[in-house]
Amino acid sequence: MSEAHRIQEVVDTFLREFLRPLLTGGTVRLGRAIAPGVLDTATLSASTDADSDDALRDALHDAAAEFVPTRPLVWPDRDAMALALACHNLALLTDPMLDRAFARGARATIAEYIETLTASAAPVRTRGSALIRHAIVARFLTLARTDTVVRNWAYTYRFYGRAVPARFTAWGGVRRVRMQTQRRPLDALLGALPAALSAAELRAAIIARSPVTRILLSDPQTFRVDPTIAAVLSDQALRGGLVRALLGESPARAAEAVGAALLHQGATLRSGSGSEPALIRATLLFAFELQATALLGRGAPISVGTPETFAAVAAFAALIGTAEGGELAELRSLDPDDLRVLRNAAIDARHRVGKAAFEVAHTLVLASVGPTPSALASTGERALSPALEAAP
Amino acid sequence: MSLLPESPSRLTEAGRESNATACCVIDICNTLHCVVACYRLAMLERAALHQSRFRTPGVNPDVRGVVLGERGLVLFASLDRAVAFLRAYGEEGSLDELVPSLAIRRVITPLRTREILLSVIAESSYRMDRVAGIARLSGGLVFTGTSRHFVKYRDSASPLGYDVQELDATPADLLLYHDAFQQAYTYERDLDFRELLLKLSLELAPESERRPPTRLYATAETGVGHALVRYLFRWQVKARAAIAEWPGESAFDDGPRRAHVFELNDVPPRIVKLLTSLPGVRLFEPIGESVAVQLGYRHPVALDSCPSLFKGDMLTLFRADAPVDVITPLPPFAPVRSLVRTELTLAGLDDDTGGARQRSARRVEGRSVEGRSVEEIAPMTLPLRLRASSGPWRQVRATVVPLAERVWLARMLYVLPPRTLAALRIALTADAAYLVDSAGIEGVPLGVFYSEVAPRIYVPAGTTLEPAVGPDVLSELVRNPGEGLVFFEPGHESPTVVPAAAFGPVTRRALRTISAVAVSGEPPDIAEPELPLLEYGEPSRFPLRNLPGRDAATRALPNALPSALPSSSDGDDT
Repeated sequence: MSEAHRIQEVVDTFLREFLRPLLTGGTVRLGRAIAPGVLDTATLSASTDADSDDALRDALHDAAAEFVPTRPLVWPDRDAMALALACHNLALLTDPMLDRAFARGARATIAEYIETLTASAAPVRTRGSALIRHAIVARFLTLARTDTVVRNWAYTYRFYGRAVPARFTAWGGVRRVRMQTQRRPLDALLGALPAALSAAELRAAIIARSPVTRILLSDPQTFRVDPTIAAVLSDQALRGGLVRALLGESPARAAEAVGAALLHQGATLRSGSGSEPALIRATLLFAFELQATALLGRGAPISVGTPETFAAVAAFAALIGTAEGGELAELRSLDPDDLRVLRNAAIDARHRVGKAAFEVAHTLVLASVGPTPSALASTGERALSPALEAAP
Repeated sequence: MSLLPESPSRLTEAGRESNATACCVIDICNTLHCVVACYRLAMLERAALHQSRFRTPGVNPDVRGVVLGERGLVLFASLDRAVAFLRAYGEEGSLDELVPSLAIRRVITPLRTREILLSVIAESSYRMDRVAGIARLSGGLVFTGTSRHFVKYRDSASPLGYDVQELDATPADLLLYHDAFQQAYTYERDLDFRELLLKLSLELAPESERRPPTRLYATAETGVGHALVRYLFRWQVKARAAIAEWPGESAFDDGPRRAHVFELNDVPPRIVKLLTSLPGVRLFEPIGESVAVQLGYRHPVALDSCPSLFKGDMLTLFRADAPVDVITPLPPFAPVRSLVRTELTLAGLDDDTGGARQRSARRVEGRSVEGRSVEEIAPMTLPLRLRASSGPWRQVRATVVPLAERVWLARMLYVLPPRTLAALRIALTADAAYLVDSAGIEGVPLGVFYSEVAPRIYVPAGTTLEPAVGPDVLSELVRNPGEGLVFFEPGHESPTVVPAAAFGPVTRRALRTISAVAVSGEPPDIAEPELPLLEYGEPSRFPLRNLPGRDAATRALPNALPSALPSSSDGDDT
């Protein structure tokens, strides 16, 4: 069998036994590690299993349609395929059978494969690509492993992520066979790996290549609006879908995340190092859409509890209540009745956050419409955080 | 104290502060080494009496010694404050004296803050004093100058005005010198005052200010225009009517938009109330000759103080719920009496009616003489008759479907919309099916339509009862209607009464009883995929031995995450 045939067989097995059950549900079977050299074949050659291909396209489209109405997605996508291969290898890294003599050294090589594959995924450039990546990475993060312990009258057998052969459970009554299963999520499995493998960093690198997943995870500790995130947030339809999804899960956490990003940008402005206006604009629009959707959809504003949510609400008030914010196309396209509701809410929010925080948020709005960061840094005598601390 | 010069409200506050505060501002500025290029503290000096030379170009003392340039500027933080100024000025005096030289501009600072600048010719210090007084009320700052450099206009601290100590050489369209700041501006765009007036939303007039107007304008959609002409003629309202046309707003419109325009004089309050509540009709209260504002509302700016803006062969109608209607050129108006449709009547009929009136009068005289009742002298019982009417059909709420059309009615029920079916009530008699819908029977295009002329009394649509008795009298005249519905049918001497109990929902009366057949069913598959589980393959002693693709290099070098946003041409969607 030639090398090309062997690679094609690896690709077919990967699509049929890993990617398809990963997206459609079921049991994902991990084979051997997949080298980065397989990526080109997986992207360019057609799969020999047309049924798997159709199922994959349907599953990807279903996952994407949860956020925005979308056209048929372009699959296979090289960058998404690279991430899927990296996910496969990262899941394989948790196999305890690799932690034995002669096999232990393979784990470092597999980790290198993961790094190479992850790094070969280019930044997101289309809405479809962002959604495909999220469909794969989000499902990957929900992976779990079933660990089974089989005990009989004499022995104890442990099967980590492998099916129990029938011979171990035969004659259960006579041999007093007892089985105990435990479901362990992927995060716990990665956390148990040796630190030298840097499994957490590999996982974070994969997530970093999927901006939609990053936004939806919205960890207030780590969420920052970088150019990739800003590119996703600048897409109005995608931003709306993400906000609706976030509001359905945890509005407070999302508000804290966007508030943390605003605080970070405010601190960057204060330091004088400057921040890209487009990044600030994307963050402000995200904060605005979050608050506006909450108000217009459910009639309940986001509560002000932490400094992060305080910053998010202040940004909303500044965006609505100032002339510069009012000239944004996103506001001008609103229905007049909706705009009236939002303006009333902004007035209320302005009273809640106080004048100092409002003016600082206004500075961010000014920075988002164009002035040079250096000028803002020189005029913004008050920092964002102290203003928030001084506010009620 | 923070130095955030771009907030005009802050500037206003600073302007109101004393000189000591200004010194404090200067100290803080020196301490902080504030080097914002666009904002510096202006050093102004007070003008002295008989001072004839000034560093500010284009300013001179007037007869009172007040420093005055050719123009006066009022700076506002936002457009609403500028509107407040115009509103106050219009209420206080005449905007017409400002209009010829009035220019409204949106200016922008180097820090991209937008403000509104209002410029007028400073004819004299008396006019500027009035402008300055009202500008202070509405949060504006007043300056005077001629071309590019404008210095603060006089105030109580310096009754003769100010002069700058040093001119600013910053390249800008406009430089303003205030005792609290010095700011350069660039012109962004001009705002036309008339366009501004047309764009402002009307305000609801308070009840206390609403007075019954003697003269009104009204617009009516073409559907109700002709009916309104007849109505105004019938009640002898002094009215003139015209038809106005506006071009279609887009190529998808069927044609130009048309509406009747009425000029009404001495309208009774009850008619004003009726027209106000009539859909498709809007009333406007004239302000001057060619401007009118919708009744019950008022324009934020006193339009009667600037009639020169609306001169010419035009009529401007300010509507509360839509953009302004400008009718130009003004169409010819004609009295409604010349537009109403005339009906021919036989001369003999009038004579008969007149004779009957005279006879009735004689009988009244006879009653006083002979002491007997009119009924006893000559009993007069007039039967109610149906007469064809050319008036519009109103309150068509019933139809009578003859027996021969009952099959068609059954077919029709299959295509009726749910709302009509739910509201339709039917009574089946030996001769016909009576269908009633209180919301209108137009949904059933069968049978003879009936109008409800009084509660539960119906006449065929397009006819009327004569004598033209009112609904209350009619209810009394129709004896023993009970709880039934009375139908005056053509060709019948006496009306038909259908008991109310005979009416029921058409869905109950017409449909057969449904016996359901139970079938088995299952819920559809759950769309949400279950969470995946992982399972390892067969372990091998050397996991990477002979691994396919191990030696092949990837096609492209690893991609790094970007440090800047991708350009819009890079992607198609995001």
